[in-house]
Amino acid sequence: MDWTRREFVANMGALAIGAALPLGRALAQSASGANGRDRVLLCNEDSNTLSVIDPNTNTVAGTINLTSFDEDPRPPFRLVTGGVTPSHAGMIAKPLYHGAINIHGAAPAPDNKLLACTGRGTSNVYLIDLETMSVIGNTPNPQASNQTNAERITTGVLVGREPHEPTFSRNGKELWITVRGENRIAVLDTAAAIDESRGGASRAVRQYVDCINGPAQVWFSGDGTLAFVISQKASQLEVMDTHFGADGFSRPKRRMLIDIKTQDPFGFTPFQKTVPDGTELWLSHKLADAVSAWSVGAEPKALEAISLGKLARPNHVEFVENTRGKAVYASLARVDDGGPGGIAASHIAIIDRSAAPGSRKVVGTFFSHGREAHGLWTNPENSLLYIAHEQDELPNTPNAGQTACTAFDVSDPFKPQFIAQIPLGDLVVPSGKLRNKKSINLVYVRPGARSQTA
Amino acid sequence: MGRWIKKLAFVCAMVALIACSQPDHFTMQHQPAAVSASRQGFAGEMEAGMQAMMKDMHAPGFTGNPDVDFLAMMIPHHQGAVEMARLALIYGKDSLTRRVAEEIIASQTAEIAAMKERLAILRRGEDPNPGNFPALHGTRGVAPQ
Repeated sequence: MDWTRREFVANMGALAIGAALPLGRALAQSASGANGRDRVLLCNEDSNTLSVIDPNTNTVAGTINLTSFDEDPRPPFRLVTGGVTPSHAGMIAKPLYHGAINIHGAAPAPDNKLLACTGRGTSNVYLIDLETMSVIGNTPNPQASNQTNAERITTGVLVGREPHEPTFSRNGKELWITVRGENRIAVLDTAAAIDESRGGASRAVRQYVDCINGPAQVWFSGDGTLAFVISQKASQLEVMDTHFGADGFSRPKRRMLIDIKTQDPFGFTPFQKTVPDGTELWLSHKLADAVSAWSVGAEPKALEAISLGKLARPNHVEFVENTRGKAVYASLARVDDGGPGGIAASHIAIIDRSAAPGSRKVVGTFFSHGREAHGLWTNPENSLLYIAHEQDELPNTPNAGQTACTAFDVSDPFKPQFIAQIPLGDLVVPSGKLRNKKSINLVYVRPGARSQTA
Repeated sequence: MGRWIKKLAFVCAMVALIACSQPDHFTMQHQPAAVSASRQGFAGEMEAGMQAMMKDMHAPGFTGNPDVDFLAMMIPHHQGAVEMARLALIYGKDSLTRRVAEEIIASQTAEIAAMKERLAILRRGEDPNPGNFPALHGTRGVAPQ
């Protein structure tokens, strides 16, 4: 396949699974498959917030504040001064700002009780208690008043320049973070990271592990004995032996480097994930407009590379497997004409994973009902799908100016049904409102239940 | 030659005057709801957007308060930029130009909101020290002799 953007839209139109429901309808449609405590969290990179969505109502349940605005009661240092709210790009440059910068990556702990998210610009990682939906380590604000926030934001754990994606080890005792700007992986002791976030004496970083240039993400084999490292600078896949000991901690060592120029000649592979049964590893090659599948083992073998069409720019992959089929979804960054309601939107590509390795292909696409689709995650039953979007909705659309998350019923993985477009709204602080903006990672959590990292 | 230049200048001025006095068939508040390519096409919609911007910028006139006038005229100027960027996203293909358009919409939408809020405050009266706190930036004064 080598299509232009418009050709892709035209050609895939026949396969496209269109909007089942009109845009802008009531958002509180019943969402079968959601548990009462389930939540969907989105990392908003420009507003430095986490949006929390209740999948039972498909509404925003709250916004977790990772900024430091309105800790200080003095007007120039609050979010809004004299009616003037800074632009998102400018807000982090306000004097005395010490909150997060560029909240980007996220992953849940194996028991879904803890979420790690990275601040690319702040060079750190924050931990979120998923049972209370609170930032671990925040402390009472010494300047607290009725004009300020009650809490002072933690610094979290500093790990190094440009951390990209966090991943918990399968036993949950470690948190591995690819430090993209330093060509190494920060391996954290999870318990110590909680203590350090709270200002304790612990030092969370157990060790730095040198790895391939520009590491984007680590993902572990199902048994936790292997770590796979992908890169956004090199056409390589690194495999490490983790050597977890009886104490539950790793002693990683490089096992092999795999040349993936065939699959990714540009050396830009930002995301990977293993399939539910752990037998395959899927990589998204953003600039190559493709995804590839690999066997999981001591020596991974390429199973196939699947083109997604010109300028597709895949971000994340997710697997939906239930009684009605086994599908791989790839979120595409490209924004296509002719979306629902005449509104340009991104596509999600559907690959049939039940076909034999080597013969799998894109069997359909559907509009994501948002612009520049990025993170996507399914519920434990694999019946619901949530999608994050980087770009705001355009002027003159139902949720103009808002970053939106969308929800789909994927009970039939090959016929996703649109449920809702959920505008993320604002974080309300005493001086005004900060609009949630630019979602990157998205995670569906059920606190206390096994997560995809288990 | 000088006469021809004067005539040409006069004609240009008249054309500009006529353009500015066109009936109000389109304003920023009455944009078409379509968000994909319409029959008007890029040129038509761009022209309408720019005309609306010019009209809205001239509408407030000068009050004698430079802060108020600046904000009152800069708001429609930004709205015009947002509209132009919106059309670039609908019709344009170049990825880097689209990125510029995205950033214009993101930043100037926030700036429009900020200017509207500040304009409302200034129109109610002077507010040199917001919140009764000394201004940190953007001060203007006279250097001591």
